Amino acid sequence: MSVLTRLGTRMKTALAGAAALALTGCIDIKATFFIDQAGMLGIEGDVKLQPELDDVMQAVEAMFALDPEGRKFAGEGLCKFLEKTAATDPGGQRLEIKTRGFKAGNRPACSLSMKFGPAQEILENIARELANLKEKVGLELAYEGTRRYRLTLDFGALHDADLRRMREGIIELLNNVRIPGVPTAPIQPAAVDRAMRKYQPMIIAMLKMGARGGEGDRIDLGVRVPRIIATNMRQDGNTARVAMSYAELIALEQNVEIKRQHVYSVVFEF
Amino acid sequence: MLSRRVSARLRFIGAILPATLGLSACIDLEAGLAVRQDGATSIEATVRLDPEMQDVFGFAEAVAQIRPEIAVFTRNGLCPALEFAAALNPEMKMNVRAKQGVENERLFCAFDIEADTVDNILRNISPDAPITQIGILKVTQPGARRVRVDVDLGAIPDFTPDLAKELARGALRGLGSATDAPDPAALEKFARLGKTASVSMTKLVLRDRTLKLTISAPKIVETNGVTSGQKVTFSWPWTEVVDMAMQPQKRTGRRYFVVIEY
Repeated sequence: MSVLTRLGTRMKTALAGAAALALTGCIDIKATFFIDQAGMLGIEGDVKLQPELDDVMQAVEAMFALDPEGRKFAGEGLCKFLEKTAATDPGGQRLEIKTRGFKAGNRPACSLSMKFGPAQEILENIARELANLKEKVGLELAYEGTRRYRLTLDFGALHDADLRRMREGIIELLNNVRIPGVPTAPIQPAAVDRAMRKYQPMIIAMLKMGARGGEGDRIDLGVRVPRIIATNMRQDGNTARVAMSYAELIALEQNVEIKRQHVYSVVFEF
Repeated sequence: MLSRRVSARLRFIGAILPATLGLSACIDLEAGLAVRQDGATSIEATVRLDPEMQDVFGFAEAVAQIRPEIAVFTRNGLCPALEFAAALNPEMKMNVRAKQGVENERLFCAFDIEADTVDNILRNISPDAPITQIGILKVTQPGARRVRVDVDLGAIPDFTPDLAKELARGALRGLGSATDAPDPAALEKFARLGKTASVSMTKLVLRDRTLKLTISAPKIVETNGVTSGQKVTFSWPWTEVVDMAMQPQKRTGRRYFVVIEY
């Protein structure tokens, strides 16, 4: 059962609200997936939002407080609202969500940690599902021995998977356009190729617009495990990290050949 | 049959265009009324988008080119597709002209819709029309072929309490709440914070972009707007537009007028 299906409606609404906020404007994210000494898999991290979202977060919390049930959890910021809501939800209780709202300069920020469950069971499931996929999606998790896994993030494969999905999406969209009385000609692959040549410039344009004013913000992802066997990521003790600013991400999108060279992996034991 | 065929095409174009425009966020909008020498009028609107939107439109147009029957409508760009759409829609009686291009590196969509004559417009804005009764809009004819338009934004009634109630009801439904009548104190707080949030959100999404309303005519006799040749412009940053909309006191004293001759 996925994490989201275990959660209650209000909990999912709060998470969806937080996600919607995060989509607006640039965000600085530092997230670390961890396996603790008890063998539990979780995620912890900080999210810093745009200063303008401070007002919006207060309004969203006030919106939740319109509901008499929601009002019980309001008053300490949207970040804490999420934790308090989770504490009353059976699914949320299992996740052991802890949050802390704070200010990073003039930016509203939230620290969050949650535990998904026993790492052994979850990693086995993820590794099996990823292995069963017909095509690479850019993320691989391979079993390499007792309680040992190799996690790979392959930017080139991510790129190819994105192109493949978009191509399939276009064909599906256009196949669904039916004009009564007009025979539908089969879609010519060459015509789709021509359109797909314009896809990457669009992605770059969208990234530039989305990141405007926050090009220095970073996406920083890490893995903290009891033991790192090998990694080509930046290693600090038992944590391996890969980080990139939005400006670097845009530069990478502008040069796909260099993007393909970004393959990060970590072999770990727990 | 024709209208069904057209409507299928329009649905596709209609789906692409707003989605594409919606992604742009940073827009300048200039909209206005143009009065010609013969008293005929047209509504003109120009939307200016970020330079990057050229690539976003480029992809959407390339996708539209894949199917020949859709490509016919989008061969001059996504915006001119609306011109075809209007021309082929038997229910749409207006003549729409659309243009798409690049100016100062920014993509623009310009629309020109033929409207009624000045005389017919004046007949429709009678002294007993609600907008006139409230005092928002006053149109008078101080002389032959001369029209004075007065707009008082301060006369717009405060709609925010009703808006807050409506939004609150929608939010409660969305949250699956057992009640649809929020506590008055909670509603007051939601309404107050919602006003501030809407301005902040506008600042974040639309940044420093503006809304311009214009009137052009053979002769601008008098105005408190900015005149350039035969055009008068009233301009506000989007943040000010939202601030004025959400806070009645910000609209107080906002009176604009123009006297034109045609």
